[in-house]
Amino acid sequence: MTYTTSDATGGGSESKPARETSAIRKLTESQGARSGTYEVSDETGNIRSRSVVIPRRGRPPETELRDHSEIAQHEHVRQLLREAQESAAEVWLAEDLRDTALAGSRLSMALRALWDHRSIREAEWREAVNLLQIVVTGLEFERLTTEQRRAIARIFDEQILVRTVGRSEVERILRLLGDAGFDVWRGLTETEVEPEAG
Amino acid sequence: MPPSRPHAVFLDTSIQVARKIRETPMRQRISAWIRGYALNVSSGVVLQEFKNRVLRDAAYVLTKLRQTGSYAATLDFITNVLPRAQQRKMRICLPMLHRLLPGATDAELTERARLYFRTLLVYGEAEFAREIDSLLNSVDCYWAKTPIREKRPYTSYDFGSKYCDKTNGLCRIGEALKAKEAGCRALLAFLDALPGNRFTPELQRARDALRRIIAADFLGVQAENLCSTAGDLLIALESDGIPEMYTMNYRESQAFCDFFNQSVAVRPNDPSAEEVRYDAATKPWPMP
Repeated sequence: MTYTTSDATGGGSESKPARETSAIRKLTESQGARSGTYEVSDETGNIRSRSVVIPRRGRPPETELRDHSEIAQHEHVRQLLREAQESAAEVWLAEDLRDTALAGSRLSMALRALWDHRSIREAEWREAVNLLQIVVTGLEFERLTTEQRRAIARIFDEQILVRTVGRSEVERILRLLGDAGFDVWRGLTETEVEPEAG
Repeated sequence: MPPSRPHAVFLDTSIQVARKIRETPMRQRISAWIRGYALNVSSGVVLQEFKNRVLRDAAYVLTKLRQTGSYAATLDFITNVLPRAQQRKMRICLPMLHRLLPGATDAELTERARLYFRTLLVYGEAEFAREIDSLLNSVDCYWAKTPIREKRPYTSYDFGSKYCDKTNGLCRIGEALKAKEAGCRALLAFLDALPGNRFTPELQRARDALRRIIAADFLGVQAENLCSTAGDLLIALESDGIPEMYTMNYRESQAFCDFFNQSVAVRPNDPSAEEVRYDAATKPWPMP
């Protein structure tokens, strides 16, 4: 049986062939920095290859742009949700009713901004944001009951809109709103229609 | 705050509909009134009437939004075009989003209305049940127990039928009424003895249906389609045991509540008016 001892870095004593060193030089004589021609030479100066890198013209592909844009939008939505959470917490915790109203106004603006970015989120998320806006739009936040202010804070504290929204998330929002006495039916009214006389 | 009336109240269809789709002051008054009771109770037949009255309208609005592609055109159609095709006066639900969000464009309102009406259709029944403390279903209404089915989001919703005889025998209303036979016979006797000035066409239909059902020994009750022809009768039977009825419909309630020895709280149609309460212990009550 043979044993080998390893050095401090864990590597064995096996020697590796020395890696060839090479140099890459951009050929700028004719076009300056705009040149796309490169020369690769070995350590002795012999040119091993010459290649031309064709610069990409115009915009990057649409898919790449879209990916970058969506990542940015998702991050922006997360930021808006953090802002909404802070505003909702202040609606709940503010001791001065004027502060409650101001926080409520900021929350409404955050909801509006979230709605503007709805295209990157799933249909149930859009329904939930829409519902929240319908329920709180035009409300005087300083007149909300303690339960209503706490319900608004909990919706954002529980991060319901941060995760993927499905049926249980919408039900949770409806429960919090309904239990606190918000009117989720306020986007609906009835009217009487009757046939025209004669 | 403890309830000022420490007992249960039964919320009938007129109240359950009004608390959701009437003007804001009316909704607020109803909410304030029912907070005064220890328990809020309703029933399966009330839920079924609510589905037919409110949620079917929501599905209709959703369909019109899809057909017209425009919130404004949908609103115009329902308020101006539909009445010309109607043969009778009717009440219908409308979206209110243009008033809640006055700066929104037609495209935004259209999208919002589609999302909102789907929310109501998908979650409306659960909300109905969640907002009360107990949902009684002693007449075993099959369609009340069958939830609205979303076949295609925003497009197709299956409400089932309005009729008991379209349940392939799954409606057990005959058996449920048979179990209440003594009460049904006593109610028929009460309605037979009711003076003419307390009678209404609804009460007459209820009495005639009861007479036929009892004469047939509670067989073939499904063919009566009582949910659509005598809903008040079924709701009254479901409310048996609840000490108070809250309603906007005094004309029929004065008879049924009298029979079941319930007090009745009447919500006037005028939102600024106070409730009128008739106690079970202080009869006779005024004529309808």
